[in-house]
Amino acid sequence: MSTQWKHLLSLGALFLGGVMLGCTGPPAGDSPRAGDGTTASPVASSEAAARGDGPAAAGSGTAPLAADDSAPTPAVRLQVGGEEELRQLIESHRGKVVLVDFWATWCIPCVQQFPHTVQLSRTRRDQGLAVISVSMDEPSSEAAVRQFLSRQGADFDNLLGKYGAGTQFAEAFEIRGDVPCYKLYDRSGRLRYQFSAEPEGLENGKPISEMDQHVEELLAETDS
Amino acid sequence: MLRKMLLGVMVAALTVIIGQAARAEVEVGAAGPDFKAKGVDGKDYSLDSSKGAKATVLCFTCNNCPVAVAYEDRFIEFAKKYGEKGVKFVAVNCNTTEDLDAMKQRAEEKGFTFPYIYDESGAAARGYGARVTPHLFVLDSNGKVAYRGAFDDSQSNPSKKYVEDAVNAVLSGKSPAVSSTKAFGCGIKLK
Repeated sequence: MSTQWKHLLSLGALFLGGVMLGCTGPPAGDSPRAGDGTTASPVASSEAAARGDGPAAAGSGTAPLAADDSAPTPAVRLQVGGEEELRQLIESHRGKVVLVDFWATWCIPCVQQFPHTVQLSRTRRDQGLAVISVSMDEPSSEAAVRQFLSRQGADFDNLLGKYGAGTQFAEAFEIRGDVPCYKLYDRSGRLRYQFSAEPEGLENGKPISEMDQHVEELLAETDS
Repeated sequence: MLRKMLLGVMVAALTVIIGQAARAEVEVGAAGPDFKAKGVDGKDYSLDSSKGAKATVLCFTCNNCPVAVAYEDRFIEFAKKYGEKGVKFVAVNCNTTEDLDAMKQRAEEKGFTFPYIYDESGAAARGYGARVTPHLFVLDSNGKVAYRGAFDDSQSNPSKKYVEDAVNAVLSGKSPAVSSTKAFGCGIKLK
């Protein structure tokens, strides 16, 4: 084989390798973890968050992992609703572990943590994790909420609270009022954990940094 | 200017993420914990500053939280209306990521007519158990907590004016019908 051919072959191998790497998405080390915001450079994170192109969004063009979500849909599933709609959504996932992410576009830590929620959904969907996001934005901000979710690649059920930011939202969805806040239900639909930056005083409250381990814990349980 | 804005975003970002040991809200009926803090006017403030007031409204707020900012006009209006009735409104900033200079600027820009004080150590926020901005506490003329929670029930379209109702009750010597609600907004970061 001539030297020229050898060069061509190695170039081809490099190209193919590059394409394959590109398909696998961000390297594992780049995956966001719960509570990562504490160590991340805040400017970089918040800018990325504002643009909606956080780490999880980098792989937003890839096909969903689950078989039940058959086709990749660029449009985000978003509905405006209240506690009844949320109850129905949670009920529709009976048999799965359900994580509900309460957030708002005006809440910087919520926005920073959102890629982690997307990542959890993608990596644990096959094991039976269903994710639902509930926004505390105003219903009139639906376009902005939809755009954010779309950029994040939020390919799960998304709800925009019909009450907007206020005590009614907190009462209806049974949260304390500070976001981000997460609720984790087991496969039989029981609320098992709540995660917050300030978990003390919350029933079964845990720090956000412990979310992943409790998701794993509930995924390992069988439906009773 | 841009640098300042970026700094603001950075600060707000840090604010809510780094969670602190949780603080329980002060009980309704308990004495409002005392505090010491400097105001944007250079004066020192404590509960003593409210002596003689028929009621005191402590409003934990900040410059950067969009929810708190959305409420500023309501605070100004409230302070004006109830100031004439002997009610003292005090805005407390306990975000250590903001400073007195930034607060002074904000107070001037918005024309705050009430004290805007800097709870740099976070002692006031801890004492009251303020968790978010805005988070409000109404004290009666004896300094006892009569109400804690949100200013009203909705950022965009309020129908229940909790703080106003609570203050009206205190002014007429009654206990507020609603003495505790869920404060909503941005988390507070303390030292």
